[in-house]
Parts: sequence; structure tokens; C-alpha cells
Amino acid sequence: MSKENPICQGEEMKNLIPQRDPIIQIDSLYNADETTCETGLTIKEENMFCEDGLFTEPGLIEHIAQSASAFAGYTAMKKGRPAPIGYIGEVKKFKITRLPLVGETIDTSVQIISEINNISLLSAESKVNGFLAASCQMKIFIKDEQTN
Amino acid sequence: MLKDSYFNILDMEKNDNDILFHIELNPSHKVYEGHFPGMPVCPGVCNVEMIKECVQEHTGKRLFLNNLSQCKFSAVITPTYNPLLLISLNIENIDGETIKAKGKITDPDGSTTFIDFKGEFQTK
Repeated sequence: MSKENPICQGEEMKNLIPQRDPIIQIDSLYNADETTCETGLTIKEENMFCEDGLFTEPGLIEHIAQSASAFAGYTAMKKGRPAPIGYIGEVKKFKITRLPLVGETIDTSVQIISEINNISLLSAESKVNGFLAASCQMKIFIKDEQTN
Repeated sequence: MLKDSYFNILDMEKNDNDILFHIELNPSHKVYEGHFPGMPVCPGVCNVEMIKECVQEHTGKRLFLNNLSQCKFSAVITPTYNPLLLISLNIENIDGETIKAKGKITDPDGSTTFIDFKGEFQTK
């Protein structure tokens, strides 16, 4: 894995997540193994969650949720399945230290803590320039397209 | 950010620290073009932002959500089926800078709870 050679980037992210513009809040999947992944987002001025040059709280939460969604999509794609739709079930201990600025890049690492009955429990950290911007725990419900 | 575009506040009822917001969603907001194509459902994070903007409306202050202690999304909100919502919040102003809010989003008769929320804001 490297930032120069991501698994998936830009428009191709649409193969991994069901979200479409204007709510797409992820532009790179850098790395993924069984239980962890690393993702990124560079903040553009026209982002729907930007206000006064800052990327605001709902954008950060959505970015982490879509990081988990892209991870699930990548795992499904490796098995030859379409990207599943995931809903946020619960957000806990979401602490925001600072809001990223327009032009900055968020680097996020997601760790799956458990996966039971299509419910993923994960923890995530988002950094900007190496400094912690946000951290949280999240529960995601994955709707399996194959069984519906 | 979302008030008067994604949602409108139709009415506010105050009883000490307990505030009831009567909300109307706008099913034609652009966010539904992408969440999800052909299947509009409210993004959970937009409803968290909606709660924040309600607290801003009540306090008259611009706020930063620095700690979302817990937020449970128990049921999906579909703007076409659930255009009217109630947000009931207990809002506590701790020291002028820290504001705590706890509450939920329900349907108009209170029979379905969509979101339980507990969070802390700082004034900007």
C-alpha cells in the first residue's frame, strides 16, 4: 500500500459505495486487509458540508461512515458481489478536536472490532497533517443485496 | 447550513430547558440525489446537523459539536413518508461556553423514535 498507489481513487470509488453526489465524502481507499482500512478525502470548497472555509461535523461523521462503507464494498467486490448499502446504526464517543480546512486532506483509519449478523462495530480515527481531528466508534448495518 | 433548505422549523415550544421543535423536511433537497439514487432516505448525519441547528436556534449562538457522546439511529427516515417530525431536546447551558443537549427525533405522534441523541457543544 502507498499513498502514491491507492487501491481505489476518485470516480472509481463509486464502484465501492452506493452514495452519489452531492453526499460522497471519500475519494481514496489506500489500503485494506481483513479488519482495517485506510481512506482519504481532500476537502473541496463546493462540498455540501463546508461552511466558512471549514469542513463541518456532519461531513466528518459521514466521511468515517463512508470509509466503512467503502471497506465493505471492497470486501464484497473481491467476492464478486455488488457494493452493499450500509446505514449508520449508532455513533458513540465522536470527539472532534478540530475541523479540517478547505484544501486539506483527511487521512482516516478504520478498524473493525466485530462483525455479527450484518452489524459492524468499528473504531476510527481521522487525522489532518498527522494531527488527530476526530475519533469515534460506530455501528453500521449492512443491507446485503444478495439476500434481499 | 441545512435550515431553510433541508428542513424548516414550523414551531418551537419551550418549557424551561425542554424544547419541542416541529420540523418539516424538504423531500426535494439535492442530497437525496445521492442518498440514494431512486431511493431517498435521510442521511443520519444530516439529522445530527438538524439537531445542532435546532440547538443554535434556541440558544441564539453558533455552535461546534465537539462531543457526540451517543447517537442511535433506530429507524430510517424517508422524507416523502415522514415529512413531519418532532425533535424534543433538553438543552442545558453549563457555563456559557458548553451546552449539553439530550433528546430524540420522533414522528408527530411520538410513536416511532428515529434517533436518540446525546451531545455536547461549544460556542464559537
